[in-house]
Amino acid sequence: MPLLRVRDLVKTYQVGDVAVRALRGVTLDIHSGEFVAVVGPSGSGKSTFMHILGCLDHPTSGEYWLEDRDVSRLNDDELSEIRNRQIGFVFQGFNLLSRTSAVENVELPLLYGKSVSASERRKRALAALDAVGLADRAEHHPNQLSGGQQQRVAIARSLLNNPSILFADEPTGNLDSRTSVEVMDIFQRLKEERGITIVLITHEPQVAEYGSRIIAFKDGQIVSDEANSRQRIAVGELALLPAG
Amino acid sequence: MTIGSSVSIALRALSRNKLQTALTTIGMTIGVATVLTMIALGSGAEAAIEQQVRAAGMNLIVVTAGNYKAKTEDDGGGVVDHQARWDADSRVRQGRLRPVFSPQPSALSPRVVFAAFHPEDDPMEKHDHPTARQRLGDTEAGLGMAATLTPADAEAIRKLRGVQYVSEGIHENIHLTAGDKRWFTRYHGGDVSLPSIRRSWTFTSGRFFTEREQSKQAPVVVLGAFVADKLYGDVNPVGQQIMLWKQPFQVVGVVGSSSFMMTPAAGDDQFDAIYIPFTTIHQILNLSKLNDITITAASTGEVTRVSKDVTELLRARHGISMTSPDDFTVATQARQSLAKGGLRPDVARAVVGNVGGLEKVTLEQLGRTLDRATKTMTALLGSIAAVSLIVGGIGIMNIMLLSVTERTREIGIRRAVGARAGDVLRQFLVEAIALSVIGGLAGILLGAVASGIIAQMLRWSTSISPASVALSFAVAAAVGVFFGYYPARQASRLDPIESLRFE
Repeated sequence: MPLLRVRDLVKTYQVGDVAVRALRGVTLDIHSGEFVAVVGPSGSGKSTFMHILGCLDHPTSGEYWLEDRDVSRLNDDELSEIRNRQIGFVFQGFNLLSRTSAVENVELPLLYGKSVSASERRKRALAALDAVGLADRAEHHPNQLSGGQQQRVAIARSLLNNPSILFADEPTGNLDSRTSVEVMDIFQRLKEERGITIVLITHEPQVAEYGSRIIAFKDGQIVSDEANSRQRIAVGELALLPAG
Repeated sequence: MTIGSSVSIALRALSRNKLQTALTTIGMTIGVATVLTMIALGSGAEAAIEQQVRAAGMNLIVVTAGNYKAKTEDDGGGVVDHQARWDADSRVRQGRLRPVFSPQPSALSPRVVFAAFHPEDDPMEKHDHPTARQRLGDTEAGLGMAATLTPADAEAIRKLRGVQYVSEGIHENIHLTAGDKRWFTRYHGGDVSLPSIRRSWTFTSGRFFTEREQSKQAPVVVLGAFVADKLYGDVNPVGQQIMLWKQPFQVVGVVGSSSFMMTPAAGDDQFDAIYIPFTTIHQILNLSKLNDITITAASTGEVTRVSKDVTELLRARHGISMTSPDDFTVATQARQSLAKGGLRPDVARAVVGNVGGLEKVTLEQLGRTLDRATKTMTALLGSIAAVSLIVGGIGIMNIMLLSVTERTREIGIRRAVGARAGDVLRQFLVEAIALSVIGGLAGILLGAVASGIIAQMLRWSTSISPASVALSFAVAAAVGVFFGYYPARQASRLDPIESLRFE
């Protein structure tokens, strides 16, 4: 049984008098442990697709099953709970709270959902920071960290509730090439070591090649969906790159 | 999300913008401080009027032995006993009442004149001691010969409903000696509750005599401030001995006036006087009767009822038949003191000027009128001050709306990691409440200080009651909820995706 099951998903926005059809009937299965790269030019509907899959938005019509639940029928509070427990997000702009330390940023998901004691929150946040190699930067504020470090804090945050899926929206857009490869390495390791399903949205074909499966969007529809036979392995590339 | 973490998030968010937070709370602080100060001033005025009313004897009832009327001055200073003419003898005959002092047969003539001539009455005479006129109450002392009141009467009155304090009274003039100094003054035998009845008393040193000293008939004495000054000057008299009736009495306290309207002076009945337990006097002088009984009613409005009850009780106790007049006099001092200026002149003027047909007004109505007037004043002051609270609240609302816009992205991030709309609403609401409550607490502090300063500067009594503090606090929190709800709801309604894209 697939982890994600999408059937004929349609999303229409009303912009003034014009109805913009962002998604025009998307059907798709994603299985647990896949590293799916979604590519397409801007305006192709890939971001809208990710927002719906990430439970940030409702589809206009169609079905979306996450594990055994029909997410398209859930209300706002239930969607919030799913975002909290099953889904992690990594954004292009990192989206960390400014003037808040790294460890406090990482703790954020634990404030919502079932209550966790303050000391337990801190412990888990520090462990997550350690896992992305930032244990020594726990008390730094985002503006004291480099872009790559900020993105790693964001990844630590997204993993805190042990989600089954990680959505990454252009995670390397603001990063240089070496840190981009580092982030990809983290994703690939998460997939291998923890079996986390990763959905990576990008417009760069080279970045998409780190995925095990590449889905191409155009005009709100899937134009190609195939396994990636030439998957790039980040850890190997890192060894060849000069140390940053 | 727990309330505790909401509060800590709110406080952290507020501490990030200290200047903004401080400026916003100042609005609340001033609002709450104003309300509190106004209420304190208002209820202070209320309490002051109430106290003045009581100090003026509005709740005072004095029962005097005998039922006499002083003749007018052209009667030569003598006193006519109207009752004795046809009453005292009849009662003696009936055997119900046995006056301690039996009038001479001549006293039964139509015009009974005691002390028809006294050396002190000679206007040309020079005296080295206060004359009868200066010694207040000499004539009343003479009337006291009709001794009809007993400590048992006082005890019975204590049990009446609405009675607050009762003091037995026995008064006479006395020579006292302290070392080589002598003073001619007046003693008052009283009950331990006397300081509670004389509200304007303060003990400049020492204390009043105790229950124990009263029951043991101890030879202790409390000096009026004027007497203490005459006898001891600057020396503290407490612990010294004075001689009364050739017996040593120990001074346990000095009583002075706490009211700036009344300063101890020669010949005044309260501070040119000494106080002794009435039991001690009874024992030493071998007496068993009282000159008077002083009663306070628990509430000003009940004076009329209580005095009626006292009259009925005493008539019953003294076995006076329906047709016979009282053998005592019950006097309430309200109207008397109003007219005489026992009230502060400004208050008395206000009362006399504003209460139509004062003579017809019962005490109860008068009390209620005063209550209403001061309550109206408090309400007026409070509602004017409440306007500043609204202004403070609008300040909070303004800053919260700004904050929601500023932190749109933060809201988006929180929503993305699983915050429900309700969590966001609560976060901003708690922040608004925290702003108003912090401002409110500071306001309570400021208000307390301000009303303290006003009380000192204007000599206007203010009182900050726990209730008004609680009210201010509750109002502050309510302002936070009221003015914080709209911005918080705006925050909770933001679309997560839109907020995440917000720059």
